[in-house]
Amino acid sequence: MSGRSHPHGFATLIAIVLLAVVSGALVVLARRVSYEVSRTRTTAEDAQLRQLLMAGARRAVAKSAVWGNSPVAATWQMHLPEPLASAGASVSLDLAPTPEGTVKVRIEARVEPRQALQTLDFKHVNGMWYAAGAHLGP
Amino acid sequence: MKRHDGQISQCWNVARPPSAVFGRSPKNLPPGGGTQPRRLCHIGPLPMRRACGFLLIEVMIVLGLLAVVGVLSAQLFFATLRAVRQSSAGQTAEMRFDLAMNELRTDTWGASEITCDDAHHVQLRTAAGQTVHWNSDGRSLTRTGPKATERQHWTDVAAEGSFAARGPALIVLMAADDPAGQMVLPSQSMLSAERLP
Repeated sequence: MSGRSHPHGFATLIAIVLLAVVSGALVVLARRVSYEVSRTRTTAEDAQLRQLLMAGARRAVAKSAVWGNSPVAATWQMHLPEPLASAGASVSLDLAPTPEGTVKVRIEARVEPRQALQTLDFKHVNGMWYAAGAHLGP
Repeated sequence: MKRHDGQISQCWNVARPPSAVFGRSPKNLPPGGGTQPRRLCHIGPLPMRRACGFLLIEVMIVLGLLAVVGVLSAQLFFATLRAVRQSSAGQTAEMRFDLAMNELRTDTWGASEITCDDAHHVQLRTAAGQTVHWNSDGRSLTRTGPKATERQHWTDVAAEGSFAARGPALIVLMAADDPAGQMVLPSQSMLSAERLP
């Protein structure tokens, strides 16, 4: 009996060890692939959010022509193309005058479940509002 | 040798004790333990020859197979270890690169002026008049803020980076001869300023 079981036991042990090693490698590689997929999706969503932020900034600059000398606080939503809107995307602009005579426009882009934020600083020079700076993030 | 009732009968003379022939206890020895030649007869089927060892060629084949399996197993084992190590290192390098690019993107977003002295150095001037320097040295990136103490360093990032200014955007070249290996980081401040009436 022992003469037959030893070779089988050795082969089984080798097979189990190799299976464990390969399984471990597969788990690591699967985790890496999962990370890459997640990273790619996140990168694409971030790029979409930045596009929306830039569109919001362009809308804010265009609207600044009709603010007059003393704009009032306001909030409005941008109208987005149907594919974006149906995908849950939205861009909201929040205008807030400051005591220093400048205007801050807070632009929030959202593609569920992610969001991005930027703040534009407007200065009033020679009767015109112009964007003096931008800050990405809260 | 002759047939006897359908069985094979074999008779021979032995000069040795039967135990040396059949491997049994010497129970067939005559009383008193003599060693005289004695005529033994075996009635029944001929004993089959039992294989109690391996041929040399069999041993060599088995050893060869074991060697091949051992070499393949070792290669598989070390390849697995190498893949695990490289996967982990690559993921860490990508995370470092993403962190550095996020920081660079934020700096560029608010920059009112982008100046590239050379392919490995870029100056980003903010609307407040502050300057942020970025340096690329092979696979490491360094950010130096307006204050000298504001220094961040990312080593062993996933890709080599070089810089180029193109209009209101900073181009990060990760592969000089591959257009797909470029990142375009726009400056929102410069884009907005371009639309001034």
